[in-house]
Amino acid sequence: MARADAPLANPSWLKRLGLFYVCAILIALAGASILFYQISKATPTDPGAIEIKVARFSEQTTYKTRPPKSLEQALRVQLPHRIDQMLSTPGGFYWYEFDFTALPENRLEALYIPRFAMNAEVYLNGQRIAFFGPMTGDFAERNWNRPQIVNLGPNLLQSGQNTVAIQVRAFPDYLAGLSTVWLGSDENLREAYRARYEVQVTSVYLSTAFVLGAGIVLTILIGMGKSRSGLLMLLASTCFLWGVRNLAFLTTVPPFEHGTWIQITQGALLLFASLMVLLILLYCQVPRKRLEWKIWWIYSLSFPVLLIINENWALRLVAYYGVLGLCMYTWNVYLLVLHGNSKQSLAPHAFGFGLLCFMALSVSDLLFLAGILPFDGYFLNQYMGIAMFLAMSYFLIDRYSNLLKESDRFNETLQMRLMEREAELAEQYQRLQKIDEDKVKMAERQRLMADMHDGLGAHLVAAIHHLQSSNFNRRNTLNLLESGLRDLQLTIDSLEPIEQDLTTLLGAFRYRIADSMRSAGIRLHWAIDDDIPAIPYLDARNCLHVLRIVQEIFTNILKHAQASEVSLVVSRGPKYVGVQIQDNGVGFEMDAQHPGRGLNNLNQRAASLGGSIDMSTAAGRGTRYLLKLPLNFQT
Amino acid sequence: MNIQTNKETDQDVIRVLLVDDDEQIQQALRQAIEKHPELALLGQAYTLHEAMAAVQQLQPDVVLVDLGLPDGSGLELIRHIHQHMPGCESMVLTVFGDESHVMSSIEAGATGYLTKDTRTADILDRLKQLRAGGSPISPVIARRLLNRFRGAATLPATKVTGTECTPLSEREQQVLEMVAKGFMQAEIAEIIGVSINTVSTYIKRIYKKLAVNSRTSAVHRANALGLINLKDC
Repeated sequence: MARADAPLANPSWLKRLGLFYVCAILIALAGASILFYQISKATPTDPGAIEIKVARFSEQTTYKTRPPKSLEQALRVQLPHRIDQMLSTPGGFYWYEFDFTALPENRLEALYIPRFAMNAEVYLNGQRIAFFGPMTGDFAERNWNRPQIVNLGPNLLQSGQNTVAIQVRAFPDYLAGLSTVWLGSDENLREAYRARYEVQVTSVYLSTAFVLGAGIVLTILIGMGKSRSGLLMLLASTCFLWGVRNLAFLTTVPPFEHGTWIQITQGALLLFASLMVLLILLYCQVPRKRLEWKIWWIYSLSFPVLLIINENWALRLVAYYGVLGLCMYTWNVYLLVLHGNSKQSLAPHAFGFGLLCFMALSVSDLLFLAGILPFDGYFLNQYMGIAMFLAMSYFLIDRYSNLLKESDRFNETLQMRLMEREAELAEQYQRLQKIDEDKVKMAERQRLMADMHDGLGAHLVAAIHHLQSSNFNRRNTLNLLESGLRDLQLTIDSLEPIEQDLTTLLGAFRYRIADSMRSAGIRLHWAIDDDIPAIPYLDARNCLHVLRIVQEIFTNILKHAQASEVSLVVSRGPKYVGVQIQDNGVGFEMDAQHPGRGLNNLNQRAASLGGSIDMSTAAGRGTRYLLKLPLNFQT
Repeated sequence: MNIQTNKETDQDVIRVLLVDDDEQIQQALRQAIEKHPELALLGQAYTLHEAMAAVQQLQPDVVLVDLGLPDGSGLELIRHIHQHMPGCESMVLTVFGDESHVMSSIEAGATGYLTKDTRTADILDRLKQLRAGGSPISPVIARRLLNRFRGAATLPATKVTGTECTPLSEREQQVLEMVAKGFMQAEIAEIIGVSINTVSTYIKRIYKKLAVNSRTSAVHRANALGLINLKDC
C-alpha cells in the first residue's frame, strides 16, 4: 500500500475530497431523516389509543386452544418482551394476557401488534379472534417482521372489562417475544400499521428488487462479453446473495422447513460478507501474503462448516460472525481510504463511506438481535443495500472506464511505438542497402582498376618502354597502343547494358573488329540460333571474360592462322550455350604435354564462367574452338 | 574558326564542318578529309558558339560534332541542326561509340556517329553511307532502341491524341533485332531480301522516330511540369 502522505499534499485533491465527504454526509443525513420520519409515523397518534406495556406472562410446553386459567394469577412482565433464555430449547408457547376497559367514547375497535415472533393467536375474552401461522407441526410461518392489525369484533367486545390473550409460538434457536400492543380506533391504528409495514416490508421489497435488478444487468453485461472484469462478476454475485438474504425479511411462507431456511438465508448473509471483503481486498490490490487474506480465508472456510454441522447454530453464528465481519469491514474502510488517497480517486472513498454507513446500520441490527435494543425496533441494514450498491456500481463503472481509457492510451502508445519501429527499420534497411550498394560499387571499382592496370596500363607501359629502347620501331609501338585501345574498348563494351544477352555481346565485339577483319581480308560468317536465352550471370565482369576469350581467339586467327574465312556459330544445347569459332587457316600440331599459355588463359576464363573451352586443330585443317557456357551458374 | 575557301563546291562533293575542341583530333580528321577528293572541309570550329555561327553561314552537308565542347554540349548544336536545317546531317564524334553518348545524340537528332579511332580510309565510306541515307548502328544501340520502343508502346501516358509515340514497323523491328544479334547490315539485307540501302534507310528512319518520340515526350514532360501549355501551342 502506497503511503498517502504525498498525494494528500495536493490542495485540489483535498478540496475534492472535502466536498465529497460533505455531500456524502448530507445524503446520509437526508436518508436517515426520511427513515426516522417514516418510523415516527408508525406510532399511533390518537390520544384515545392505549399502549399496553405490561402483561401477565406464562410459559407452556404444549399448544392450548384457550387461555390457561393460571394466566390470571401469572407474573407481570414489561412489554416489549423477549425470551432469550429459551433460544436453545426445543421451543414452546408463551401466553401474554392483559385487561382493558372499553368505554364508548374510547372507540377501542382494533388491536395493533407491531412485532411478534413468529406465529401467534389472539384471544378476546377467551374467544380466538385471529391467528398467524401454524401453532403445531415443524413448519414455521415467518411473521416476525410483519406488523399485524386485528379487528376486535363488536360482538365479542363487552362494555367495561375485557381480556386479551396472545399465544406466541417460539421456535428453537429463533428470537421469540412480543412488542408493546396498541388498542384504539381502527383508522388511527391502521395508519400506524401501514407506516410500519412500509418501513419493514414495502421498502425492503423495493431495495431487494433494485439490487436483484442490478445483479441481472451486471450478469447480462458479463454474459454479453462486454466486460472481462472479475470484480464485476463478484459484484453480480454479491447482488444476488443480498437478494437471497433479504428473502429472510420478506418471505412469510418459505419454500423450506424452518431450520433449512435459516441455514440458507443466514448462510447467504455470511457469504455476502465474505464476498464483500474479497471484493475490497481485490479492489485495493492487497498483496496475497498479507494477514487480511488469511483472516478472510479462515472466515470464509469456517462458517459453512459450522452451518452444516448444526442448523440451530445458524442464528447464533450470525451474531458472532457479524461481529467478525464488522471488524473486517472496519479494516476495509481504512484500506479503501488509503487506496483512494494514493490513487487520488473518489471512488474508493465513496465505497468506504457506503460501507461505513452499512456498518452503522448493521451494528444497530446486531444490538437488536442481542436484545440490547427493544424488540419492537427495526432491522435497518437492508436499506443500506441501495446506497452501498450505488457506491459500488459507481466505483466499478469508474474503474471500468479507466480501464478503457488506459487501454486506449496503451493502444495509442503501441501504435506510436510500432510506427517508430517501422521508421527505424526502414532507415536501417536503407542504410544496409546503401552499404550493399557501396560494396558493389567498391567491388566494381576495384575490378575496373585491376582491369585497367593489367590491360591498358600494361600496354601503355610496354609502349613507353618500347619508345625508350634503342631498337625503337614505329610499327611495334603502334601495335602496342592499338592493342591497348582494343583492351580499353573491351572493358567499355563489357559495361554496356546488354541485359544478359550473349548475342548482343558477341555482336558488339563483331562490330568492333569488323574493320580489321575486312582489312585483313577475312570473311566472317555469323550464325545465331533463334532461341538463345538470356544468360543470367552475364554481368560486366563475366561479359569481360567472354569478350577476352573471343578477343584472344580472334587475335590468334589474325596473327597466325592465315585464314580467309572464319565462322562464329552460337547454338543452344540442353544445358549450355555453345559458341563455336572456326577458321580455315593453316592450323598447327597440338603438343599435348604443353598446351600454349594462351589456351591456359582461355581455359581459366571459361572455368570462371562455369564453362569450358575445347580446341581442336591439325596442320592444314584450320582451328576450331568451342566455348560452352552453362545456362545456370552461380558465380 | 577556320573557313576553307580554296576548295570549289560541286554537287558530288560532301561538304563537311568539323566541330571539336581537341587540336589533335581536328588535325587528324582534317588530314583524312583532305585526302579524299569527294570530301570538302568547309571549316573547323572549336567551340559551340563558333559552331552555331558556322552552320548558319556555311550550310554544310554534314557536321561532325564532339559532345564535350568548352562552352556547352554538342547536343545543343545537334538539336539546332535537327530543328532548323533539314538538309544538314549531324554525326557524333565519340572515342568509343558507347551506348549512353550515342543514344542521347540520336535523341537530339543525330543520324550517325563516328568513332575517333575509325581508320581514315573508312571515314569516307561512313560519310558517303550517311549521305546515301544510311546510318551506322551497333548491336548494343539496337538493343537499347528495341527497349526504348517497347517501353514507348506500352506507356499509357503517350496515348494523348495526335502526339502518340510513333511505333516501329514490323520490318524496322526485325532489322533492329538482327542488328542486336550481331548481324551486319549487308547480311540483314540478304536474309530479309532487300537491298543494303533499304536496311540503312530503316536504321535512319528508326533514329528519326526516336528523335521525334523523345521530343514529344520532352514536350509532354514540360507540359506536365507546367513549363509550357500545350493548349496555347
